[in-house]
Amino acid sequence: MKDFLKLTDMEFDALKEMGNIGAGHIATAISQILGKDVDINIPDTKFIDISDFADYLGGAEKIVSAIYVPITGSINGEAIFIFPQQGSNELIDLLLNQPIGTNKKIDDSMLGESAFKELSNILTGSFLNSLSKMLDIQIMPSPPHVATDMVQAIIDLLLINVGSYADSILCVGTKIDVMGHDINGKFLILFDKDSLLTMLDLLHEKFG
Amino acid sequence: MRNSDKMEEKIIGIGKIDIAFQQGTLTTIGLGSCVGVMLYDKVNKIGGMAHVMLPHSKESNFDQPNKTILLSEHDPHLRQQLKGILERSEYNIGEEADEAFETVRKYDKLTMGLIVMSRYIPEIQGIETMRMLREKDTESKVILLSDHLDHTTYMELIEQGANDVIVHPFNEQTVLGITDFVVLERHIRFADVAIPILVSRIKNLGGNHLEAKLIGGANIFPSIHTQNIGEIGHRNIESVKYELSQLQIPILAEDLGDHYGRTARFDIATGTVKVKTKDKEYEL
Repeated sequence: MKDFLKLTDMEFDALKEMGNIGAGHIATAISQILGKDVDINIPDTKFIDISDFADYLGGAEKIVSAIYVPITGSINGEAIFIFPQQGSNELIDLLLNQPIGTNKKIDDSMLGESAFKELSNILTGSFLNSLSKMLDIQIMPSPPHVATDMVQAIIDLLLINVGSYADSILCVGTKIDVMGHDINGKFLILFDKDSLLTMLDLLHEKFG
Repeated sequence: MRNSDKMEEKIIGIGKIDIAFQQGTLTTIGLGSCVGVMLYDKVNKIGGMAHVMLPHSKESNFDQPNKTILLSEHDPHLRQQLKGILERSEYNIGEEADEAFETVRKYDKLTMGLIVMSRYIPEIQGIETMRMLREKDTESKVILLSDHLDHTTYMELIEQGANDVIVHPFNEQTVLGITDFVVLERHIRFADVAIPILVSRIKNLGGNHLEAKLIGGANIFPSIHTQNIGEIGHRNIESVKYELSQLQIPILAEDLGDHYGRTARFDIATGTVKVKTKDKEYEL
């Protein structure tokens, strides 16, 4: 993507700032739902090579649970949450207010899976909400999709869109951790090519 | 030391291809909607693997790569023959040279996309010339031309930095396949580009009578039905099968579709493929 998307330092900072604000909203949302302190670090906003993307997420063959949320509206893209199996199980236990260790697999119970989807809907919603306000546009998350598989197999669907025109992908990503628990999640937002250009135009308009 | 201790495993990343002979393992990890294509010559024990990402290069939005070549070969007859083959395709010979220093002098990274160069050019050898070219431009792409090539020498030339090696005597298909391999780098993620190039690379090393095994092409998120994401695995499979039928390569075994990721380990000594998913292992 960096071939066609030549960002100035200022544009890059604006995107980073957008990521920061969004991550802040996510942290608030998740800590309200769980009633726990949440640790969300300053997000990475960077170009990642298609061939390095699996490593960025912990390695190609590692088994993870993922929730994929398509984003539509004035801006199109996708959000994805990735949790190691331990993390998704603990998160479901926290969401369902049951002892840690009860949930063994993400699709153990309909309830667990739907709580997990609901959480990702809320988190994506809160991120997009902050973005809508900032840019004054309409952006909506679509219903989420869940899968548990190897990292590389999961991210194929993120790479096929970008793969026809670029070797790298611009991604805003942050870690999600809940104090006292082993969640170790990752939240990523990717925008398609035209949407990135639209966003940059809007940022220029708003902030000069 | 047992023989297997020396065998190396090469990981074929997304959208890439590679070949191996007689020993070693070619591996693709976590094929989701991507398709792993394994081609094998069981007599000569030469194999290749492609990690196909997308079905058709016509869907690509990449800029056209630079197809201007600097051709460096001392034997005028051979140079003419190569020039003819390349120019009949879409390549353009920008400069010609017949010895090492002339080659380095004529190379200009702004105008040349590729150097095709004899391993035996006069003054200094091809490898030395390649080093000098890389000092001028670290990104320069070099295909060496060599005869009487055994597998060890081939690997040495690749390790010394050649992007590939054309084995002489060659045929038109091999010369173009190897040239496309180096020039069309980013297009190799598409089935219609990857498969003919992989076949050329295997034939270049003497492989023949190829048979295929296929794996992958899943839809990892079963609830997604949209055309560009939900159908991509299926479209990859169709495109791979079409390309193989065009080249008359029979499919010996396949493990395709469904909703889970697969890792494939292709053992070149035997042609067997070990498959691993998140909850089982089996042989293809």
